[in-house]
Amino acid sequence: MTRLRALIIKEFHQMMRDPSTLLIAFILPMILLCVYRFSLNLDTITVTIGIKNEDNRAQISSLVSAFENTKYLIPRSYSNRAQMERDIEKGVIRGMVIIPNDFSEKLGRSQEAQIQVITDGSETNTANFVANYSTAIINNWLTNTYKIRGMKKPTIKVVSRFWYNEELNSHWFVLPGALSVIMTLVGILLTALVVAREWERGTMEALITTRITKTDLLLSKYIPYFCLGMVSMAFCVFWCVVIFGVPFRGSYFLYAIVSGLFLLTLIGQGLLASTLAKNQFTASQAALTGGFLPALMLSGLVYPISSMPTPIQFLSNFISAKYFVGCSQNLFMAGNIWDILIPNSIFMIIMSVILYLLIYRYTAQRLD
Amino acid sequence: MGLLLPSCGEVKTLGVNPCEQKDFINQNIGYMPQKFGLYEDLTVMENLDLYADLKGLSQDHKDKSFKTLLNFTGLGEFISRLAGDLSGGMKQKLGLACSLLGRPGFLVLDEPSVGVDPISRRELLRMVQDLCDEGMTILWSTAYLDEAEKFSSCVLLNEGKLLYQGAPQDLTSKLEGRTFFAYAKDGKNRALLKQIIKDGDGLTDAVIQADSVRVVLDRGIQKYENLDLQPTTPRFEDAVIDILGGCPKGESSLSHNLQIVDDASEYVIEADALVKRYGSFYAVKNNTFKVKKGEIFGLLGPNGAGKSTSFKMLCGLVTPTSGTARIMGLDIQKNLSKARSYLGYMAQKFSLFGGLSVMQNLKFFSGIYGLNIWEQRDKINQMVDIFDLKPYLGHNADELPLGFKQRLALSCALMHNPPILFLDEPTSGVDPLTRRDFWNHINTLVEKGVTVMVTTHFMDEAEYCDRISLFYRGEAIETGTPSELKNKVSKDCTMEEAFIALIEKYDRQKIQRMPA
Amino acid sequence: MWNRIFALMIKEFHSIWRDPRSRALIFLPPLVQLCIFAFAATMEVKNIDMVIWDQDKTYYSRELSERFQNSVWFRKIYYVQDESHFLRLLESQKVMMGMNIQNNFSRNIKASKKAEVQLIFDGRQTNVSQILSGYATEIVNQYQKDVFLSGFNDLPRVDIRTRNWFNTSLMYLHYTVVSLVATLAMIAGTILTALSVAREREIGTFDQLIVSPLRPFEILIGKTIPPLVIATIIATFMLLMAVFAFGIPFSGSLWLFYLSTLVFLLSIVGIGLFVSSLCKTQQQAILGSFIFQMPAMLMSGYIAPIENMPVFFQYLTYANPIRFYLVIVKGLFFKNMPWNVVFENLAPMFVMALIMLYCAYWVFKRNLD
Repeated sequence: MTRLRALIIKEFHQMMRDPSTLLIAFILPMILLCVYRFSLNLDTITVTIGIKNEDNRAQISSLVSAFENTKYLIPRSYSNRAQMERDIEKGVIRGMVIIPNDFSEKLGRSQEAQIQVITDGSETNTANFVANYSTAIINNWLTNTYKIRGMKKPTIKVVSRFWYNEELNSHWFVLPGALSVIMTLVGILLTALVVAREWERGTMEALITTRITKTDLLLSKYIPYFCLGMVSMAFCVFWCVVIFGVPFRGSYFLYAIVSGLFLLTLIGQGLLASTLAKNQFTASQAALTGGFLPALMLSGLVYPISSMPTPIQFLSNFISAKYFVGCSQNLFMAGNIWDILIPNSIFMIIMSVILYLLIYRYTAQRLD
Repeated sequence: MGLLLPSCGEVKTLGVNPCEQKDFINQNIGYMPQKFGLYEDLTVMENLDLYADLKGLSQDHKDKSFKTLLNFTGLGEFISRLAGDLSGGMKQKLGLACSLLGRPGFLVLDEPSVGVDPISRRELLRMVQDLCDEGMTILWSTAYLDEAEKFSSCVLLNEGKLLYQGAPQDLTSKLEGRTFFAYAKDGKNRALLKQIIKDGDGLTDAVIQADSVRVVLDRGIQKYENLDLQPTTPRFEDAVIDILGGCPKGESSLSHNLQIVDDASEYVIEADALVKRYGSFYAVKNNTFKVKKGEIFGLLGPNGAGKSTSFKMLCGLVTPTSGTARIMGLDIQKNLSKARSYLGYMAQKFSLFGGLSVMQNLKFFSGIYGLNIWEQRDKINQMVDIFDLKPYLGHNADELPLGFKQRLALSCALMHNPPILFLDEPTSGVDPLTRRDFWNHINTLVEKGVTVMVTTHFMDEAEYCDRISLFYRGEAIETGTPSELKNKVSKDCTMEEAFIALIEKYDRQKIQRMPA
Repeated sequence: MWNRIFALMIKEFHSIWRDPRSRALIFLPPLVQLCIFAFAATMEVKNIDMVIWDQDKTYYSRELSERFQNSVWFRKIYYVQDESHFLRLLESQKVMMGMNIQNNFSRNIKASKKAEVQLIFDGRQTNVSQILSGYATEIVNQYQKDVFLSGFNDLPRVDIRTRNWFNTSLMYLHYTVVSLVATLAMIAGTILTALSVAREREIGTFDQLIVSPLRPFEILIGKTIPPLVIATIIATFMLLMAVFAFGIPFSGSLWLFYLSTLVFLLSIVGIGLFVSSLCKTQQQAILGSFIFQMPAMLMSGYIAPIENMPVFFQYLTYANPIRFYLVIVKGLFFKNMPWNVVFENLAPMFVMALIMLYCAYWVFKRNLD
C-alpha cells in the first residue's frame, strides 16, 4: 500500500506541477462547452431563400407574405432569375421559390397550378428543410385561401408533444452528450501520454527494478487521472446546469457513478494505447483515431445511431462513449431511467474490465 | 537483474535466479540506470520519498536514511529543488541516493559517471568507496578506465566476450617496463604521434598527453631508439588496450582526402567580452579569448560552469547579451549564415536523425551545407570510405553502436570541409579504442589546418588540446597549455588533480576577497 | 540555397516515410475514417421504431396506423393496450415516438367534430424528433386529405415541383463524404506538422539545424513543403475514393480543387508549425494541435450550419480556414463553382496561411536565442 500511495502522490505532484494539466482539465472543457453550446446548434434553422413572383395578381401577395411571416425562412425577392441562380451558386440563398405568371389564374379556374421549389442540394440538411417547409407553407396557404365548398369539416387535429424537452432546445441534447467528447481529452489523451512518456524518459526502467507490482503500477496511473477526470467532470456538469441552464432531472449520485465508469473505460483506452506504443506520437495518434473522433461521430451525440447502416451500428457497440451519451442525456433530461442506465453501465463495466486485463497483460516487466 | 531474459545460460544474483524471483531481487538490490530514473518534474525530496516508499521503508527508517543520505551526498540544501534543475553531477548523486534507499546488499550502477565533471565524479567515487568499506557489493559499469583502476576487481567485456576478470592491479603490473613518454624535439607532439602510429610495428598504444606522447610498446621490443623515451608507470588503460590488441594503427585515411585549409587570418575564432545573462544570473561573465588557426582549443569546466553557453554563443545558437563572437573574422550576429558555413558542429549526444538510415543522414547533412548532387555523391563516398560506414549504410542511425554513431556524426560535421570544427563533449561514454580512433582523425584534421574547439570535462580529452580555458562559475579562471596548467599546481600531477586544485584555489580566493 | 532546402525536405520525407508504423498511421486512418464516418455521419432519419396506443380500434384508427406502418421512415411498430406499456417504451427509448389515438376518434370524425391525435416525441433526441415530427404530421395530413377530400375533383390544387439542384437526389452520403474529405485533410495536415519541430527539439537535432547554414526561412520552407505534399496526396486519395468508390460526380475544375487544397493545407501546416514551434515538449505540441482541431471542426459549418451560430461565433469562424475550404470543396463537387467565387473563398485562407507561416517564422527566428 505504501508503494501504491507513493506512486499516486508522485503522479499528483507531476500533475500539479504541469500547467497543461490544469489547462486540459478545466480551461479547455470550459472553452469546448461554449463552442458546443453555441456552434453546434441543431435547432431549426433560419434560412434565406429567394422568391421570384411572376404572377402580379392580388391574391398572390398573400402567398408571399405567408413566406415572410414564418420564423424560419427569410425570403428575398428577386426579379431577375439569373441573378437568383448566381446567388444560389454562391450559397447566399439556400433555396428559391418560383411562382409562374398563370398561377392564380389556374387556381381560380380550379385547375392544377404549378409552383417551383428549388433547393441547394449541396447543403443536404438545409435542402430537405427548405423543401418540406415550403410545401407546408404553400399547402397551408391553399386551404386557407380557397375554402373548400360543400365539404364537411371533420378535421384531425395533431397534438404534438416533445417529452423531456418541450421547447426542443438542441443544446439540452448536445451538451450532455458533448461531455463524452470533452472527457476523452482528460481520459484518453492525457493518460495515453503519461506511460509513453515514462518509457521515453527512462523512468520506467527505474520503476521496474523497485518492488512494485504491475497492479501497483496500473492503479497508480488509474487513480490520479480518475480523480482528475471526476473533478473536471463535476466542473463541466456545474457549467452545463448553472451557466447554460440545462435541466438536471436525475440523481447526481447516479451521474457520478456512470461518469466514473465511463472514465474507467477512457483511461483504459489511453493506457492501452501508451502501453503498446511506448512513444508519445503513436500513442496520441491512437488516442485521436480511437477515442476522440469515434466519440464525436459514432456515439449518437450528433448523428442518430438508428439511422446508421447495420455494420456501423454494430461497430458503435465498441465505443464506450455511446453508452455514456445515453446515460448522460437521460440523467440530464429525463431522470433515473433504469432501463437505460443499467444495461449501459453493465457494458461500460465489461469494457473497462477487458481493457484493464489487456493492459495488465501487455505491461512489461522487462525491457525486451 | 531480470530486466532482460538471457537467451541461454543461467544468471544467479545473490544466490537466486533474478527472472524467477524478481521480488526478492528487487528488494535486495539498488539499481541506477544509465538514463537516471529520476522524475525531472519532482523535487529532490519528492523523488527520495517516492523511491523510499517504493522500497517499502517505514517512516522512522525513512527519516533516518534521508538524513544520512542527504548528508552523504551533500544534497541537503537542495531538497526542494526540481530534479530537472540539478546539474548532471547532482542528478547522479540523487540517483545514487535513491538507489541506496533501503540499504541494498548489492548496488548496480550503469555508467554513473557519464556527463559528470571531475569534481562530482571524484565525490561519487568517494561515496561508492565508503559504501564498499561498509560491506556493500557494487557493480559499476563504465567506459572510463581510470575509474576501473580504482576498483577491487573488474570484468572486461568486448563485443560480448569476456576478456579479463580479476583485480585491475594484476593486469596493470604485467606492463611494467613497457610504458614511456616520448618527447618531440621540436615540441610538435601531434606530428610525433602520427609518425609513431604510422609505423605501428611493435607498438601497443600511443596517445598524446599534454606536450608528450605516451607510448606503450609490445613486450621485448627495443625499437624507436631514435625517440627520446622516458619510462613511466603503467596505467590500467594501457593494460586494457594491450588486451584489446593495441590501438588503431596506420594513418587516418582523412589525411589523403582532405584539402588543406589555407586562410590568411591568424585568429579564426575570437570571443570578445562575451556575456550571457539569464535574468539576474550570469551564465557567462566577460569571456575573451582567441583561437589560432590549426589549434585544438578546449573549454574545460564542471557542469554548469558556462562552457556550453560560451560554446553555443560562438556558433550562434545563443545570442550573447553583450560582446561579439567572430568566426574567420566575421561577426557571427551579423553574418550568421555565412559564418556558419565555416563551422562543422558535432553536438553532445551526436544529434543524428535516429529514424533515418546512415545514408539518409549523410545525404541530409551534405545537402543542408549546400553541396550539389554530384558533390554530395563524391563527398559521401569519401566519408563512407574514411569512416568504414559501408556495412551500416542501410541501418537506422539509432541502431548503430556508439562508436559508429560518433563516426557518422563526425562525417556529417565534415561534409562541407569546414575550417573550424566544434565538438561538444565528443567522446562521452565512448570506449577507449574508439576514442583513440576518433582523436587520430581529429589530429589529422588539425595537421591540415583545421581549427578545433572542444568542450569537455573528460581529462583525457583535455590532454589532447593545445590550449585550455578552464571555466568556473561563468568565468574563464585559467587559460594555457595543459602543461602550464599542471605546472601551476605541481610538477607531476595529473590533469584531473590540476583541474580540481585550480578550482579549489579559485574558491578560496573568492572567499578571501569577500568582505567579512 | 535550394540545395539546402531540398536536403531538409528529403529528410522530412524520409522521417515520415521510413518507419512503416508511422507511414501506416498517417495514410490509413483518413481512408478508413472516410469509409466509416461517411455512413455513420448522417442526419437522415430512418429505421425509426414507434409505439401506437389505439384506444379507438375502429376502421378510421386502424387506417391511420396502417399509414405509419407503410411509411418508409418506420421500422418496427409496437401496438400496446395500456398506458403503462406506452410510457415504458417511450421512457426506455425503445421507441422514438408514440401515437395515442383516443377512443372518441372515429366518433368525432363521423360527427364532423375535431378529432384529436396525440403524437409524442422523445425530446432527448432533439434533432431526430424534430425531423420526425415533420414526417408524422405530413402522414396524418395526407391521410386526412385522402379520407375526406376524395371525390372533390374540382378543387384548386397546387403541384409543387421540388427540384434539388447540385445534389439531385439529396444524397446525404454525398454531402457527408465531401465534407469529410475536407475535415480529414485538416486532421492529416495538423498531425503531420504538430510534432515536426517539437520532437526535434526534444531529441536535440533542432540545434543541429540551427547551427547549419540554413536560415530560419529556409527551415520554414523545408518544414512546410513535405507535410503539404503528403497531405495533398492523402487528399487526392480521398478525392479518388469519393469519386470512384462513392460515385460522387465531381463537377468543378480539378485545377481549382488542387489550388484551393494547397492553399488550405498551407494554412493548416502554418498553424501546425506555429503550434509546434511554440511548444517545448511533444506532449504540449500534441495537446496544442488538439486544442486547435476540436473547435475548428465544430465551427466549420460541417456538423451544424454557421448561420445558426450567434453572431460572435460567426465572426470567429472567419479565422477558421476549414470554413472556407468546405465551401469550395462542396462548390467544386456539386455546383461547378466558377473561379471568381472560388477565389473569394480562397483569399481569406491565403491571408490566414501567410499570417500563420509568418508567426511560425518569427518563432523560429526567436528560437535562435
